[in-house]
Amino acid sequence: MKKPQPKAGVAKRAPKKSAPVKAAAAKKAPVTKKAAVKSAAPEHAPASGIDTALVEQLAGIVAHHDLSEIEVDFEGLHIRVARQAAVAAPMQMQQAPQAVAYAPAPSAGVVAPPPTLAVPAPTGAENPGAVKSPMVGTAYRRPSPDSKAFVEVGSQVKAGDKILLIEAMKTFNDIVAPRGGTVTAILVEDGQPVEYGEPLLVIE
Amino acid sequence: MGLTAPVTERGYRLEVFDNLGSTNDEAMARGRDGDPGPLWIRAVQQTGGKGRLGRQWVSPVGNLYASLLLVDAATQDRAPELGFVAGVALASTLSRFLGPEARIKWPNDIVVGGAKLAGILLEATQTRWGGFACVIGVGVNCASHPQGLPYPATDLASHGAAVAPDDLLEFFAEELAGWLDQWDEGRGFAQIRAAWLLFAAGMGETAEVAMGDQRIKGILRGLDERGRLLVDTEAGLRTIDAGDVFLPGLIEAGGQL
Repeated sequence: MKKPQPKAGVAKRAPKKSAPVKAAAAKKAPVTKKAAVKSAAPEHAPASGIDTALVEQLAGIVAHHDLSEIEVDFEGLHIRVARQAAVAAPMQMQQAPQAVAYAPAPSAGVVAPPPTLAVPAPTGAENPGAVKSPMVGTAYRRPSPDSKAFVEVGSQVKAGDKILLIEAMKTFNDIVAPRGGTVTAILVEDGQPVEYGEPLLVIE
Repeated sequence: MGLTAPVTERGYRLEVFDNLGSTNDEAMARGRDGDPGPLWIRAVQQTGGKGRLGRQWVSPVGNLYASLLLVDAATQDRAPELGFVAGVALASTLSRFLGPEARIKWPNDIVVGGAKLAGILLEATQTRWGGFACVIGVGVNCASHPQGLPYPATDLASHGAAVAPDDLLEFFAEELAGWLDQWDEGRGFAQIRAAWLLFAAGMGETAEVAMGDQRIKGILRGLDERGRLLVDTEAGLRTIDAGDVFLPGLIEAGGQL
C-alpha cells in the first residue's frame, strides 16, 4: 500500500497562531526498517541556534520506533530527521539519525522546546508509551477532513481522551489514551493503513 | 409503536426523542456513562445527523433515524463485522417492502435501482470502565430524500412503500436482533458474509473505490473472510477496508467522482 506523503499536509496545517507545537511524524519504508537499525550512521550537523536537545529527542524517537524518518513543524521551525540503511557503522553502538535537515521558516521566531518532552528511555524494542492499534484498518488523525487533529505532538492527554480514529468497513473506532501524559510522537498519517499491533503514537 | 415482544424479551429497550443532534452521539454518550445496552435511541428528526468522515446526513421529519447501543457485544477487532450484520438485517427488512430490488453497496449502504435509500454508520469506543461500546446507527429515507447530493438518492415512498419510521424500526429491530443472534459474537460471521453476498450490489461489475485522495477502478470480486472488499484491478487484486464505492449505475446517474 502506498503511504501518503506527509509534507504538503503538514505545511498546510501549520497555522501562524496559537498552538505551541505543530508536529507530524512520518513512518515510511517499513520494508527496509530492519536493515536500517543496525547500519544507521550518525552525522549530526550541529549549528548555532539549533536546539540539539530537540533533535536528539527526535532521533531517539526515530531509533526507538524503528522509523526511517520523522518530521516536525515546531514554532516556525521545520525539522526532519531521517536515516538510511545503506552505510554500515560498526563503531556505532547506538542507533542514530544519519541526516538532520534544518530549515527555518520565513517567520522563524524564538525556539523553545516544551520542557515536558523527554528523550524516550531506551528500554528495548518496545516503548512502553506506545499506543498500539487494536485492529486492522485505516487511521485518521481527525474526525473529518476539515477538522482539527485530535492530538498533536506535545498535546497533554488524560486517560480516556480520544486520540485517533481507525476505520474498518465503515466502523469508526475511537482510539483512546490508555493513560495520561504528553504525546511525544505520532506515527501515523491521516488515511494510513495500519496493522493489528502497529504502534500509532507515543504517550509519555 | 415501540419494540415487539420478541425484541423486548431479549432485553432491548427503546427511547424516542422528538429532536436530537445525532442518535449515534446520544447512544454513544449513554454507553460511555455506563448504560449496559442493548438500547435503541430513535429521533423524529436530527439537527446534526452524520455520515462517514463527518459528512452531514440530512434528517427531516418523516424518515428513520435510530441507533442501537451494544456494550461488550464483541471484542474491538470484531466490531467491523457488526456493520455487515446491520447491513444484512436492514436489507432483509427493506426487501419486505421492495422485494429483491433492495441491495447492499459495500460495506453497508442500501441502494435501490442505483440510488441510495439508507445508510449505516458504526462507531465504537471504550467505556469509562474498560468495556467496549459499539453503536450501530441507521438512516432510512422513508418519506423523502435529500436533493443535490453527489450521488443519486431515493426513498421508500417513491417506490410505493409508505412505511412510517416507527413501524420500520419495529421490523428492523426484530430483524437485527435475529441476525445478531446468528452472528453469535463473531462465531457465525461466515453465515453473515454469505447472506451479505446474496444482497450485494455490483458484484462482478466494474466500480470505482475512493480512499482519501486515491481512486482505484476494478471489478468487484466479493469479500474476504473478514469482510474486506476484493477489487480486481489492472495492478492486481486489492483488498479494501475503508473507502467509498461508486457503482456504475450511480456514476452514470451523475455521481461526483
